[in-house]
Amino acid sequence: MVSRAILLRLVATAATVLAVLTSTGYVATHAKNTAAPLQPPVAKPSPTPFPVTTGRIQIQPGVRATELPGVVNTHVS
Amino acid sequence: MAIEKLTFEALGGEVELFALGPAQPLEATADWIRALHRQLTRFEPDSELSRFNARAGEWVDVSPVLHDLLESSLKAFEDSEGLVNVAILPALISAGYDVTFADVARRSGVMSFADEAFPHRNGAVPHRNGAKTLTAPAGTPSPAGPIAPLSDLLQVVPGRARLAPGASIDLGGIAKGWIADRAVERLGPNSLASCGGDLHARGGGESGEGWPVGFGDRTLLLKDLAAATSGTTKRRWGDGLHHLIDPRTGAPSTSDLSEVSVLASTALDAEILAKTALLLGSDHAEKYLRPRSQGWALS
Repeated sequence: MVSRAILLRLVATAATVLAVLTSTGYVATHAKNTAAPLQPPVAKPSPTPFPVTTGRIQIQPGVRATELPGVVNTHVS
Repeated sequence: MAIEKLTFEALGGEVELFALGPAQPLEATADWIRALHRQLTRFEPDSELSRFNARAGEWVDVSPVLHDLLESSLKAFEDSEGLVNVAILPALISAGYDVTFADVARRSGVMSFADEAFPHRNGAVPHRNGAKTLTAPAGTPSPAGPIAPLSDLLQVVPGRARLAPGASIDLGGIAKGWIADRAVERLGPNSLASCGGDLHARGGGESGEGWPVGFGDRTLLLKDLAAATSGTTKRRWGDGLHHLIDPRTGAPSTSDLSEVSVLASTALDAEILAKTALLLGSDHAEKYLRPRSQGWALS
């Protein structure tokens, strides 16, 4: 009976030691790569210098819009 | 002080002049523009442009106006990397635009610009849905293929110029932008000139903040700024037949853009940028315009 109890303790201890060594080895060889890109990549701000973008109209900051009706339109002729 | 306004027909479309305290009567500037129309139209055989085209292959004395426009055309060709080429006239004629657009429209049964712009004049009522869709007129030659570089076809020296044999030019939008830029110089420091939609706003208008000008779907205050629009939505006379020739093919453009409006420092620059962007198509237009224009609208 005594020898059986000792045997069980030895098996349990060995299993525990093996688990610690295996996980330590795995962590040591699979360190996080801090240079790895995020997934999905973070959206970058648009490089466009124009603050006004509606559909496909873009106007530089120095040009103002108004609610007044135009005296004339630019158009295809 | 009230804004003075004058509207009249010239340069193949409607010309509108506005001024606050004009330097000279608006009618004087209108007369100057009408004279330029007679000088530069390709539809009158005795215009300076027609005579220049008729003498292709020879060195021809040219007026200061035509000289300046020819120089501007060469610059436009260079700035647009070849997409604005005034030597498209043979291709334009080949496509069916061989007489004034009013006559092309009558022949094809579509609405002419003049009918749309002045429906009251002859009782015509615009009716776009009734416009017919036609193919090229019978006997129309097939497109001529890519247009040769303008720098190979046109030589300009002070007071003289020469077209290569067989070449001919249509100054079209180049002339309208050029004239709008010079019209405001005549009108005075607070004025606006629109030549068929190619316009230059000089000074701040009535409010001092800018002349209100329709641009795309909004109104902008333009102060010492110009705008122009290029497109394929007008001057159409059939399915795929319109006035905007792509020099790369010698045929009417098949760009996925139908209309491009552009802001620039001068109406001439705006005209060149708008036409180039339209021909480039939606994939490249904005990249082309971003470093060159103060604003644009694409459709």
